Amino acid sequence: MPTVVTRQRNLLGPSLYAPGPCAMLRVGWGDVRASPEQIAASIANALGRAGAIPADVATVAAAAAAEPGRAAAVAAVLLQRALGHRVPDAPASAAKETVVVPIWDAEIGAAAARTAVALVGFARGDGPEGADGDAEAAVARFRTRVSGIEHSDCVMRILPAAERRGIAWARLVPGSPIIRLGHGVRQKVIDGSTTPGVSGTVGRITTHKDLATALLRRHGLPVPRNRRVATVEDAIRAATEIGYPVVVKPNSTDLGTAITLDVRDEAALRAAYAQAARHGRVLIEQQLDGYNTRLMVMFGRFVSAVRKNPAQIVGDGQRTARALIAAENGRRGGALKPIEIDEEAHWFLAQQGLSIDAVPAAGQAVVLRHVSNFARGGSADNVTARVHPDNARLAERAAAVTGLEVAGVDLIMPDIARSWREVGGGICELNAGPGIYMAEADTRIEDALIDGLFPNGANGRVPVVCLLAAEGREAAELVDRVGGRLGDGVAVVTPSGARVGAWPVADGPLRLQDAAQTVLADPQTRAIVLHLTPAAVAGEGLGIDRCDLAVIPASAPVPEARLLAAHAEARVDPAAADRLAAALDRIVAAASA
Amino acid sequence: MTERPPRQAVPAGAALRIHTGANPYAAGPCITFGLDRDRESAGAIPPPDGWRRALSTHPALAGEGAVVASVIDAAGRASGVPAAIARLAAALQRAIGHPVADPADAPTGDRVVVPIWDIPAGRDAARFAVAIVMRSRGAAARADDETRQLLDRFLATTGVARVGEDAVRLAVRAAARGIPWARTVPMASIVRLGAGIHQVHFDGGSMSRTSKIADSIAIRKNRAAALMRQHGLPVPRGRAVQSLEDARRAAAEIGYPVVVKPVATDAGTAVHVDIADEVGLGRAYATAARHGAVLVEQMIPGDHTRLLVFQGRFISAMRLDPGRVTGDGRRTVADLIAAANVGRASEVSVRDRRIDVDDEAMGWLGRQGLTLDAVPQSGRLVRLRNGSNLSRGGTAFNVRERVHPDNARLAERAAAVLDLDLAGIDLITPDIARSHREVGGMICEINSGPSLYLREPGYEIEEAVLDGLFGGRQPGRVPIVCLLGEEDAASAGLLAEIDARLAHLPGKRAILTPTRVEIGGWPYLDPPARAHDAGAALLGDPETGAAIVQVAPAVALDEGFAFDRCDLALIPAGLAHTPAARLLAGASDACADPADRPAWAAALARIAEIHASAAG
Repeated sequence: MPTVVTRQRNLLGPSLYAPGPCAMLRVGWGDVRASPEQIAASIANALGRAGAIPADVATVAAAAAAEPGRAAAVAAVLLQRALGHRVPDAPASAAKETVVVPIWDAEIGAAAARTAVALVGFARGDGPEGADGDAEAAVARFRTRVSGIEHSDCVMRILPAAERRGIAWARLVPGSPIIRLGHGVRQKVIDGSTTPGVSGTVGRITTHKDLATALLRRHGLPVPRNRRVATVEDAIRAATEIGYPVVVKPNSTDLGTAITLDVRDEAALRAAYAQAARHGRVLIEQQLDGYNTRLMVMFGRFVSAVRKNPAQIVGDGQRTARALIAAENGRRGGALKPIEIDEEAHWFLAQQGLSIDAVPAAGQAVVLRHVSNFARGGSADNVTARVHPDNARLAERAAAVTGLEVAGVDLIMPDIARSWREVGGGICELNAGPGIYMAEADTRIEDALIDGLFPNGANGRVPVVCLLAAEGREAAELVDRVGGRLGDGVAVVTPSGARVGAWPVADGPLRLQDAAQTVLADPQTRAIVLHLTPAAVAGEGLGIDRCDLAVIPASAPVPEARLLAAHAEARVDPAAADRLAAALDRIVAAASA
Repeated sequence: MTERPPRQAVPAGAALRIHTGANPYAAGPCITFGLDRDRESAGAIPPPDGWRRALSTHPALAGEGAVVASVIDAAGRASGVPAAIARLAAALQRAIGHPVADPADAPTGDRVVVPIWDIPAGRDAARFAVAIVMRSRGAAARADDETRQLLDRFLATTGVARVGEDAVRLAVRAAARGIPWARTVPMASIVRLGAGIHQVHFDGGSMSRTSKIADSIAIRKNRAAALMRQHGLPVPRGRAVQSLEDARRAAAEIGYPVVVKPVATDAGTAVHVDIADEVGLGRAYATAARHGAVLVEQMIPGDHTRLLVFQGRFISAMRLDPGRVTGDGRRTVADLIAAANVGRASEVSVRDRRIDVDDEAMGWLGRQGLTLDAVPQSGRLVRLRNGSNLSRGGTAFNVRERVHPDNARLAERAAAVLDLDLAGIDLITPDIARSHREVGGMICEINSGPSLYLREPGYEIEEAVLDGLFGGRQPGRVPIVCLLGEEDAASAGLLAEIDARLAHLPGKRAILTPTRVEIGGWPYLDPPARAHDAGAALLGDPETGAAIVQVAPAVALDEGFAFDRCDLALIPAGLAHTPAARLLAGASDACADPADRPAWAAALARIAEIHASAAG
């Protein structure tokens, strides 16, 4: 008998099954056909490939035969943690047929849960019906599936920062990399580090390097001389006007793509032009001397600086260049992409009298790249403390002039610790929505981003009042009363429908959890009244992570009442009309403060 | 590829000088330059007939060409040339829809004074006008051809194509309200409305307060639809497809007829409607797939209405009809199309947007049982296009008054859900005058950079947009205090004191003197040599909350000012009756003698009060 998943759903709030968001699967487990050793080996192999920690893998393997539900739950947690997701431990008390998997990202969590069941099933000898392969193939499918929807490194730093402040988050729509932080009218939508204050119109200026430099120059900021060119002849003229060496780059790409630095003559220029021209119009730019430092500006303030170094290796007198590159790549990860041994690397080695199989002398630094972008094998040092105030002010001004709330300002200067007005230098690039890098070991950037979006410690939440009662006239009247007290823009969710203000957003009958998420996501929601029935809470959980006030009649069933009360700031019995009114007044007052 | 204007036509050493503010040469913004006398030695030879003919008959000049020629005749060759150039340059700018003033009648000597509206277009117009008027020297054999070519080249490379007619109309109305405007950067089509911290930017329908993120959501049709559906808005069923096979499956799920369109194109590009079967689907998929991912959607019957929402409020609606002609029982389809295109050619906004007789048009004719030679009966509508975009031969009708309030609310809610400052919501419904809840209706598309479409004589849309953008008593302006005089220790002390008295205003103070170009204590690196240009940069600086300017009298008389109007002019008694003082006083709301401290301090306090409240 194959392993069968008969039902799967996500519970997005606390429930009787788990204290936080979880995926719930009903599973019919197939027979055990493999030996305990085979099961253990198969699970260890598959989870090992997913990057799970070996000690935890052993737990899964040990439980797989007797407690497949528990094993799958733990495996699903490991799959998520391997992606850096902050998932709590699986609840200890899972029944065999009901797999409860704590999740962090709803879609990836659901995929991890499904994968984990398949994985344990395969290891035991009976995979899911119709599924090919083995445990390892299940993990491979999971990796493929999540690779399209995984959060960027930058978002993976921002989301925990939001959570530390109690700010809720969700994807804008399923599968979207765009994230909604906060609820209702207080929400802020971000795309990587791009904030909602960044204008689309002005954003278009910053994506065209010629326009961005023109704007910066016009407002008295130091930028290299440059000109956009349409033909290679024009490029040669421009380079002559500007003076060699020049930088050749596409006018509107990112991540250092097709950029050639240090172009010293016409032959090199032609080659560089051909490469850059594949990406549209080409910019010929004066080459500035010095180090490339990325200064991050958040909401008008300089917060951090990282010096970017082009990919390089340092010889030890024993290993070849190839071996040194392999060793360096072993150390890299995340935003730091591996150094590829390509034409450019060969060219640089040749310039330094080396080949890929030559052994650089001990201590010999061998540069392999022109550009210092991390995507091209570069590395970084945090130099925040060394930045001269004039240079910090320069970065802040560049962000102000281009209207960027969050900006990565790339400064090229001989010495970042001295004023640019004294030693020279210029802004070689301005990035809207810059990445947050590995070298930034502390959380100051993402914290500054969250502080800027949610000033004064705000948590981006709107008031939520939950009523726990069976459907009926009495409950409906209570909902109306509470909704009326919360004022305009109140969203009301009941078993028969959901509305935001007067606008119906969903017709009943509906899943309360989905309707709750809809109104939480609605940019016009100012407050929420959520009518939960005991049956819905028993089946779906609360659907929200917490509320300001739980209105619980004495007649409500105890486990559901206890669950709701545990996630409410305050609890009141609707029979105590005065206390209810006072509690609502407090909420209204707090919301308008 | 854009052609460069004939740069060489302006005599060497005669750089074009731009005067955007109050200046001694013209009542408004202008470009001035000197003409090389040697090149004008042709004396009194009258312009050749061919040249005269080319100018007089060019349709875009609307009769101004003949006037240009007669200016030379009337004034004589040598002295008539500068006036003729100015006149022609103004006519060229008007031909591309820019509202320039008439050149002054007074003789300007060797100096040419060209009134301008937009700097790059004005500069191009000046260069082309010089080149064309120079063709009037001597009896060049092909003068008429060359002249016509130059005129055509100007029209093809300059103007509307760069700024956009919506931006022109918005800027015209902004200027009428006293709101300063300029291009954000000279080479881009983006227009800045308002000065300093009050500035907003407009680019082909996109408003700078619409975020980059909202823009990126709106452009991805499937993502926008998912978001709208999530928030209870009516959108057609549909999904993105990966292959033709997948498209067939999607169409079968949805049910024919369907619409096939690229996920992320604009202006109706490769949109196919009313696809009835798999054959049509295959064809539509092939063209749509050239633009990336493809969307298959339920076909919604009804009229296409574009509802404009600005800052949360419904402001306008137009019904968009696909390119079509109406039979008259006499003319063939081909003749009707030709006639329609002639009509479109006379309107700047749709001049280049003819209805072409292409596969799409032939397909529609075939479906309606017609050919190009058929003569449709009187009143019969002959459809020629899939989509109703203006750029594809469509037409727009104002239906603002007919829109049912429920439909207006629907549009407002869609704009709110997508967080768009200015939004064009395309609603398809059988009757816009009835509630979509009653008769049905769906949002088929949402635009973050909508064309304002209607060229209403009262500028209703533009006025509504400006109302939303600039309230207050000093719309879009930062306070400007201008001191006339040479820089010395006393003037420096005076400026410092003014600076301190304006310190409580929002934003930073911009300081411009003969030796300083600063914003909030930040000295500009390599500021422009001309005070005018430095002033323009400071007023366009998004950090500027107030501007304090000192201009030497000689510079004022040479360059003019960067502003059209200032709040307070400080004119020392010793300069009071000089031409520079008169120029400045004429452009000022208030004047005071810097020696009269109580007077200027009181004026400054009033200004600060007005602008502090305007900002709030």
